[in-house]
Amino acid sequence: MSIPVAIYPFCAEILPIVKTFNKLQESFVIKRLISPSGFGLTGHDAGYVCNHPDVGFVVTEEFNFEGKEWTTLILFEPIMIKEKIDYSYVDIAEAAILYGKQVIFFSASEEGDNKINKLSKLYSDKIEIKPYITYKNHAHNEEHKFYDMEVPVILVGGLLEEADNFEVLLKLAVKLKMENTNALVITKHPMGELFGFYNLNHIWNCTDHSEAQKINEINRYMNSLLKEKRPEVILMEAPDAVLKYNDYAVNGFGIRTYMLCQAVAPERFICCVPFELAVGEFLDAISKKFEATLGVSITSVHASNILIDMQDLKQKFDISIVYCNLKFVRQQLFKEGRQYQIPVYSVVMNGIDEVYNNLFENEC
Amino acid sequence: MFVKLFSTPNHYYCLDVNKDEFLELSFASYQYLAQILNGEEVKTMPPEEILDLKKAGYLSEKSNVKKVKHAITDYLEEFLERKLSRIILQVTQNCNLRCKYCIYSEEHSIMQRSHSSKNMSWETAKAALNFLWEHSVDSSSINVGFYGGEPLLQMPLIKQVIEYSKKLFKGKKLTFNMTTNGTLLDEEKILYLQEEEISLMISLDGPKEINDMNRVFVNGTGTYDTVMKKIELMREIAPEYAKKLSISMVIDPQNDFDCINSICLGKNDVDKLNILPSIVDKGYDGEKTVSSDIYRWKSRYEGFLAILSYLGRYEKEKVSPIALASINSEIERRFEVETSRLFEVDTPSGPCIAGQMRLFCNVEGLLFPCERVSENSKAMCLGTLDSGFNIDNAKQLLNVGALTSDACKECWCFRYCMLCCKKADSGQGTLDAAVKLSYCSESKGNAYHKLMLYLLLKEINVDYLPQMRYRVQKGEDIV
Repeated sequence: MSIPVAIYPFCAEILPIVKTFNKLQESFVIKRLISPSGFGLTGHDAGYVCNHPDVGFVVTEEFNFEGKEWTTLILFEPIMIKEKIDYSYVDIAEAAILYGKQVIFFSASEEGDNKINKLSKLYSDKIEIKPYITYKNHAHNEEHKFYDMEVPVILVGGLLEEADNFEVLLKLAVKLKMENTNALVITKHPMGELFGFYNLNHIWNCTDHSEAQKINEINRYMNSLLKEKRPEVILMEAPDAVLKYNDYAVNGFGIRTYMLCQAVAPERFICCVPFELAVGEFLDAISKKFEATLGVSITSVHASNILIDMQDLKQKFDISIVYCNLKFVRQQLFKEGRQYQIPVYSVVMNGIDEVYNNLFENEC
Repeated sequence: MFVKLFSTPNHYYCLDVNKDEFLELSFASYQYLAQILNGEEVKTMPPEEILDLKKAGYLSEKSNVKKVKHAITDYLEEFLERKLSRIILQVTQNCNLRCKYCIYSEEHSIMQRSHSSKNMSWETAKAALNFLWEHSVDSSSINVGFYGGEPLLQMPLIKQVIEYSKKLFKGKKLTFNMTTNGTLLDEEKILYLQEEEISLMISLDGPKEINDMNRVFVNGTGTYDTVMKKIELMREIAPEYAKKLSISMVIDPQNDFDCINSICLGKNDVDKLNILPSIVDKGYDGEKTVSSDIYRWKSRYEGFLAILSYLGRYEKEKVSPIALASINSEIERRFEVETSRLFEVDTPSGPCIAGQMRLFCNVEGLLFPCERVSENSKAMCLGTLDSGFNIDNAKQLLNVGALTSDACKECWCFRYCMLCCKKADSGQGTLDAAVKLSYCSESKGNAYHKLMLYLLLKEINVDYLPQMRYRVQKGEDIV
């Protein structure tokens, strides 16, 4: 029997999890999505957060601790919200415990939340903390062998860090599961652990490793997972945006993705692109660039419904986005369709089957 | 030829407008292009450099722009529906001062409203915050501004707004700011503003003799002494908060720059505050702002010293903080130059996303693109809190460039124009092309100055200054 859960704070990066939750695990079932009042989601269907179609959950700001609707509260630290916000985790966790609920806390900060750590010591049987970094500054393995992964490796990334990258990854994981394909999934989101996914945060955050050592370490770690899990395919999420945006909003340069691709060479790459940039010539150009930098060209594209806020970009040199109506994605796919050499889909609008078929068509 | 020529003491350039790139030229090429641009008959063959550039796709004859349309136009509704992050509340139209240049005075700004004692009601303020809440789902931070009249006349309302905002926007980064004349500050208000971390901007136009010419109480007496006492009080009871204070300095360039600047040299440590200078805007009087020669010469000289101090060649302490503030902001924004070629469908730079940038809500719940436009102008009104945005109007303001499409398409200043919709407001309820075009030379002048500074900084490799200084210190030859 699945445990009924409430999730807080519901936000854009969690929507893909909500959409695929029941298909990727059976231990829990979502009963309530809670977000702080300021998110502006109260009373809306969860899909509204990304301007996606309804998913059948209305977001609330009420926890309803006293009710019996849910028994476990899943708290997590968002990784895509740049502003440091106090989400009152401790007060909320304490209230939940007082009403006899269980709490699972997914930490996303390197140092963790001290107050919640203290609380978990007080109520060790009630709070389970899933740390962001499982171990740190461990001894570097001096083994010099560099392993080839012996199974297909699929990279899922995007020109920007956005929720749709995660949605493509999760929906592909669902497809693979439905096809009874044993997939090893690497994600950067702490909540991936709920689905038995792995992350590389313990390596990325190692302060005493050089970049070269980190690449070696990722390779070694992936090889050990390969030996242990015997997957038929590796599905990995790019740890950062794959491309520099421009000279004043450099967008991380895609440096971690580059390192990851050095460690584990991908064979196929699904690239998420804001719909306005889903233009044939542009996609061909960046695909060539990725072939040179990441060692893999784009296999297929997911056109997301996001638009860069040019005003924020010019005023604050910051990349922020607006989730547009999906009609704009449809229009773009219709308008540019004939120009595409690389196939472009919308995974949000039922394109996952096509992405999947395109990925594995040679194997069929 | 669609280029603009520039020369510095070191080099000759042309700005290829279509490509938005500066090309360094030989003197012969520069002269050749100058002759062509002047409409002179050129009998000699073009220099080889010019032929090479043409071969490489530069120096095209015509503008790339075929149609003037803002890139956001089709998505404006999405932005206004989901990506607001700021609202400026006109909490009152009442003011305890009667500044002589005030845009709300009866004598000036015939296109603006006049002084009134209307206050914003709590119902309107609450509706404005709810409106922002409903239209900001994609924004991770929220800013609420308090504007007037004099906002400190409405402290109880401001406190209500702050309390309500903290509940409403819980989970987002929330900041407040206030523009005030400062005369009504007292201990209680200062401590409250400090506690709520409200970013405070006080208006002060210069030393006593300048400030008190225009910034006066209703009874006609000057405000300088009062404001300085309030700043002192703030320094005394909230020293850390006082350090963050900003001074909005509206400069009338008819005055002597040295005289204006003397406020920074006195005992009051005004130079240690964050000075935000701006030039008095007489647009709604139907007048152009004119600078006196003495202002122009001295401000440019101080600007020159500010550049030298930025380069480490002159003591910063000896430079006018006003000049430093404006030069530093220009230097910081140099990355905006040479970044984007012209497209077939494009828009002159200048207009913000009307409503998204700094949505202004007046006491009656009418919405405007910012606090600087006329509240009487139907053309500037973006809608109401009750009826929502008037998207057609918002699109017109966004596309103010289309109003002067023919002139703009062929203008070298296309990418560097700073004219927004306010500059096209006829005061008759419509946007007017002739009104907008009357500001062109001013806009081009500003762009020219900005680009010259950019070229200068580029020539001296300003981005490598720290490294170069380090190497000089080590005694290395960096030539």
